[in-house]
Amino acid sequence: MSVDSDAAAPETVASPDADAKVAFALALKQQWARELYPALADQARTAAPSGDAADIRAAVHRSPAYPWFAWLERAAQKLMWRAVADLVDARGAADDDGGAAARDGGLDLDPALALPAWYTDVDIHIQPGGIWRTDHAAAVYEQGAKVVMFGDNDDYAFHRLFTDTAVPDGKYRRIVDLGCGFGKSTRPFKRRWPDAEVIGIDLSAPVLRLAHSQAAGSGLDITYRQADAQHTGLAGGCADLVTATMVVHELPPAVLGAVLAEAARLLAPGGLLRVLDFQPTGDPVLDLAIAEHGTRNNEPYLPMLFNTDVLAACAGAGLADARWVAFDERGAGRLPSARWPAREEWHFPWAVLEARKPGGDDE
Amino acid sequence: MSEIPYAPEPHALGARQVDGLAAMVLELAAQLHVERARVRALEHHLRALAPIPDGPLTLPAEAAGPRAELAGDLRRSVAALLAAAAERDDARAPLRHEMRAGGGGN
Repeated sequence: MSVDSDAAAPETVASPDADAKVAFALALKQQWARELYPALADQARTAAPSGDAADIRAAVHRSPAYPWFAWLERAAQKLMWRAVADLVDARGAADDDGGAAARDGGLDLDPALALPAWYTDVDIHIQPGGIWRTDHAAAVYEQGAKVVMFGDNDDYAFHRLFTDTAVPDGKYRRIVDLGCGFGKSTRPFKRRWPDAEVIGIDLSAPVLRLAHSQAAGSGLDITYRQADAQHTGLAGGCADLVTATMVVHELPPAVLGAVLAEAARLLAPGGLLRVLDFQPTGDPVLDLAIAEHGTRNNEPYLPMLFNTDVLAACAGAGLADARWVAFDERGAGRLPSARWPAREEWHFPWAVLEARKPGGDDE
Repeated sequence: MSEIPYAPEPHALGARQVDGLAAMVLELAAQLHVERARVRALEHHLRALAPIPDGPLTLPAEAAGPRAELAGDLRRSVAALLAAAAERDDARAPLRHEMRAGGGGN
């Protein structure tokens, strides 16, 4: 198990006003998830005791709590971005690494990379302008991601849990993390396997600059490369482990298929694919709420993921033994099957996609 | 990859103006919490220094600096409230015009 963490040192309060507003946004989201959602679910289940998914859907949409639930989900997200942008301004956090060269040690940017329309047309998560236009946006994204996880992942415990429980012991020479964002998913890999070469891939230069800065600040030798995860430019068969955390639900189905094909190409025989993302849990109220979360939170491809046969796509890409299993971010991590513990509050339906490249020493 | 088509901003409370009004209330509540935090901090520090006089506390006329700060606070408060009314009716990017300036980028 990895023991180091990204636990932040106590921060100097640069702006108590900005901190207070972010605290309000966090409290709002927590109450929405822990109080309003259970009320909505109770109203719907009472009105549709059969539990049939279609009946539940109609009951949810008729319930008195629903308009407020739906409205608050989007309104709280907007309020959060405004508050977080003020906080970043107050801390001056966006100025940390803006001057990093396109090819600094461990940072490989591609100024000629054309960003796809599916990525630029929508402000994902409603973040103003997305995460790729400025270094300020990357810093805002990092702060916002903490609030989005209800303050429960401030030290990136979820990511350590994924690394520690979803990836088996073994010797990994090279690990490629697709859609690495600001690098929170890459650092636990480097800490657990310090001898491995860890490469993070993302479309956005600003988040990669932030990732590079933070890895360097933590003394971690990680390479960040700006590229499309469909065409990373890395050599075929170069990786023993390919990962992606919290990213495949942001991909159109066709792109997801291409990313899985690229993952299969990158893997050496016997190599492993591990993806942390979301799947329907079988709870009709939560599954509906999550699908609608995709729409309300400007993640238009999330509902499509739920209707995509990812396992078939893995098989088509040449990967074997593909399956989804549940993941409990509260401490257990990867669970042995696709059965989720019952929970009252709104929560992300975490799941791990596992697959392997045929061949290698085990066959 | 085809572009994502325009869609109007959703109005879960039934109308654009109703949703906007509710957002202003939320913004006000957030600003109230900022003031609450300030007052708690002020009380904490004052209590350690001296008794607080009876009656309402006001800024004296000669306190030009604090008065200017208060006016600035008021301008920012109203601007933040009205931001809810100025959102774009485009669900793909309703806040894009609020993006802060900065360097870097792709």
